[in-house]
Amino acid sequence: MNKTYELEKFNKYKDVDRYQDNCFITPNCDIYENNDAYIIEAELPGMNKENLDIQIEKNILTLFGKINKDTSNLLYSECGLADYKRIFRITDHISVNDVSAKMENGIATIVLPKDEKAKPKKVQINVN
Amino acid sequence: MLFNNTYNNLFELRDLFNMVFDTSKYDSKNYNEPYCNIYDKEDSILVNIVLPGVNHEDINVELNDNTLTIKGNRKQTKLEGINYLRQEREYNDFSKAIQLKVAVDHNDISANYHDGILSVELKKAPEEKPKKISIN
Repeated sequence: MNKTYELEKFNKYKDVDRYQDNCFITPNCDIYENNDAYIIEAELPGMNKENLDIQIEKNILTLFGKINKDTSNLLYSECGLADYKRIFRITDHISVNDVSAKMENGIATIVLPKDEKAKPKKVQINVN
Repeated sequence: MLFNNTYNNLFELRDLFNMVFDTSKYDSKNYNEPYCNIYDKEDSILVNIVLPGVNHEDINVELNDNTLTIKGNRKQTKLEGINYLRQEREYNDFSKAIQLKVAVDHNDISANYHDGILSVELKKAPEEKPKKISIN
C-alpha cells in the first residue's frame, strides 16, 4: 500500500497527449434521485465556480469546466491538466427554470427539480 | 480519469499489464491512491494532491525523513430516501507516500485544502537553493 514514488523528470514529449487542447477529462459523477429532484454530484478538483459552465439545451445538460493549465515548473505529473467536460441526457420531466448548482470542495452538485409529472403520486385506495 | 483521445486504449492496455505484474497495488485492502502533481519552484516544492469532496479534518499529512505521507478517509454522507441511479465516485481510505529527492526544511511546511486539491508546500533546505555567484 505505501508505495514510495521516485521523482522523475516531467517529459513533455512523452506526456504530450495529456496536454492537448482538444482533450477533456470526464469527471466521475454520482447521480441519485429523491421524491423532489434528480441530483448530480460531479468531481471537479481544482475548479472554482467562476470557471464552471453548466448549460441545458432541450434535454442535453453540458458540464464544462476550464482549469488553469500552467505546466511551468511541473516536475512530475500523474493527472493530466485538461478541461472537464461531460454531457448528460436528461429527462423531459424537470422544471428547467428551477435548476440550481453549487460548488464545494471540488464537488459540483446540480439539483434538477422534477416537475409534477415525474413526482410519485400516492393513490388512495378506498376499501369497502 | 479518462482521456477522450486515441491513446485511451493504449492506456487501458498498459493498466492491464500493470495489473498482472504489479499485484501489490491491487491488494485486498482496497486502498485508494490519489493522483498528484509536483511542481519544482525556485525555493520550494509544491505537491498538489487531487482529493475532491474530502473533509479537511479527515486528511493527515506527515513528513518522515524525506517521505511525505498523506492519509485519510473519504466519507460518504448518508442521505435518506434517495435512490442511486449511477455511482462512480469512490468512498474509501486513501494513502499516498511520496519520496522527495531534495532536502526540505522540516520546520517550514504548509498545507492548504482548496477546491478539492490539497497543496503541500515544502521549503527547500538552504543547501538545495540555487546560489548566485558574482563575477568579479
